[in-house]
Amino acid sequence: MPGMLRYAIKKVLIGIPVILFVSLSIFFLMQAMPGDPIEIIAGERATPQRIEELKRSWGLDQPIYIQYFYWLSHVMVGDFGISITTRLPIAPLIWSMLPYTLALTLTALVLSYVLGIPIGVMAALKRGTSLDNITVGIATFFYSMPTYWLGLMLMLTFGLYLKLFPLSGTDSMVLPALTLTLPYVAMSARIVRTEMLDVLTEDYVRTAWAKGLPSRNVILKHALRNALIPLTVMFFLDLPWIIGGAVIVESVFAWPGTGILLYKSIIRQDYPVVLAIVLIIAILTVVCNIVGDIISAVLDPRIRVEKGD
Amino acid sequence: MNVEGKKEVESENSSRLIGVKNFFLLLIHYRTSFAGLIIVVGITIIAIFAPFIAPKHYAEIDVSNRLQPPSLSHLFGTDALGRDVFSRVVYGAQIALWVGMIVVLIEAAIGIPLGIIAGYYNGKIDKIISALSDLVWSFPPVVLALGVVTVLGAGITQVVIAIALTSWCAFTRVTRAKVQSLVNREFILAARAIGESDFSIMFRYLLPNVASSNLVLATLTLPAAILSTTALSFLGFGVQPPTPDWGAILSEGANQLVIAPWIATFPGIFIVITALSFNLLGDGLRDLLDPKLKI
Repeated sequence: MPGMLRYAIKKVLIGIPVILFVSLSIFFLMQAMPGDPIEIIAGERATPQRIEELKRSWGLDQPIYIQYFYWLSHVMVGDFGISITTRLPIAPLIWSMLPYTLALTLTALVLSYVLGIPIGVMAALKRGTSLDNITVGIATFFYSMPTYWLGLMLMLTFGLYLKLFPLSGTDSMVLPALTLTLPYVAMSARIVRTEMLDVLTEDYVRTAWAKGLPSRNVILKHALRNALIPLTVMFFLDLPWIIGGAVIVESVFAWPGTGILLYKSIIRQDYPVVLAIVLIIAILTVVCNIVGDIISAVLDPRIRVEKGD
Repeated sequence: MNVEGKKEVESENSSRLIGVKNFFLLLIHYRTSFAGLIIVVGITIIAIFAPFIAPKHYAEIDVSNRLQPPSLSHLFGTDALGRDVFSRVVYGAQIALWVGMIVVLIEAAIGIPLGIIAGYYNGKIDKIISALSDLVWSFPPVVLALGVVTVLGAGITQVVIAIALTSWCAFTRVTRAKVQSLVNREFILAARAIGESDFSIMFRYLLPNVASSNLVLATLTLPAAILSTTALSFLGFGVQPPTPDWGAILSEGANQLVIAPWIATFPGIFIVITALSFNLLGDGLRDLLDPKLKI
């Protein structure tokens, strides 16, 4: 399908300047930060000659735009420079913590959809009944809850009083994952419900009922399939958000992921690490956006026609 | 000269304006939203009259009464410095509502004009504004705000700026969509025909017509703003001690969770109640003013 391919290529091409723009902003933020990374790398007793030498080898004697490309070429091969506090390369530090964050966030995201979709469908099918009202009420309740407080309360109930799970650390992922999941279950249930209500009133669904198709078929094949399109896209848009949410959950539960690294680095004023993580999340965000756009176009051909021109 | 255009605007508005009395009758019909409104009013009263409601000043230290569990003399117990948690939570309502309102106002001040411009001009300007708002929208606000705080330093002003700069996009989206649906309506065409300037059309004709959608959005954005700002205070980047921000009290309570769980519990309950009441009120307002609005 050439139309589809053209749309996909176009989206990717638009993504490139966006990523460049984001990287440029982060590069300039880094310039604005106090502290000279070279002096840190060289150590306090380095001679001016040594510092000059290092600057030359890092390309820091060049004009600023050359420095930017120099930095960009390093970033593109996964070299984010050196942490101010540990004086160790940043990249291995991040890669060693990333699996923890990915495990936590992907579990939460998948769980929230697995739980949220049936709840949302049920509420939509029973629209206006007390089941629907209670579902919407509970969803709004969790939606209004600060994740860090939810985390603390789960810790208190299941960790301290019931002693079912450890209070914090890596022994059990249940509590941090649950903390991250519950608000998202509420959100996806709300979205599924709204989408289902929209779809259920469409003509083709009414026709399917009128034809006498079994309701299982109408609900699952005709209605749900279309209601899930926006949710598939949401999955990719939610991924960066949930990684953002993980910052708080990780610091509540001392979960050793990139979120807690970001938090600690801000406290220690370790700017290179902060900006490296922000840059990675920024790129992830843009990529997720592109993937979401392409997938929604694959699932719903109308989007290509409307937005693809 | 532009009398006709003005009349159009007025009729456009009056069709949507409901009398104050009917408004309350309708709101009673939406029972949960009405409950939301009552709680919102209640929290506002607590915030305004905090000095009269709170038995102690929020910063009053009483070392002889450290970490007391909830009792009649200290409804929500005391913290590690012997401060009355109930008083701190009551004063905290002031900060939560102020901060939330200011964040929402800044977001609206950025988002609505951009949305009107994007929707009105279409073409390149629209594409640029939409791309920018989509980009900021998809970026996780806490991470972006943490980035801003890293640059600007910790403090409540910085947090307000950070959250507002990262969350204005919803206003742009909603306003833009609304303006696009209005821009070819007769009253706008008429305004153009009688030679009204673009600026005047955008801000005197279109702005009043996007007001109700944005009112709904503002009501639903306020709880999000309170959740984000208290989250940053919880992490230690927002309101600095001894100011009793709910997030900051919670953060102190988190350190004493095992020995004094009440310190973290009560401010959290207040955050939930506040956010929930604004969400319920906002949901009702949406059904009432702009049922098709999707946020």
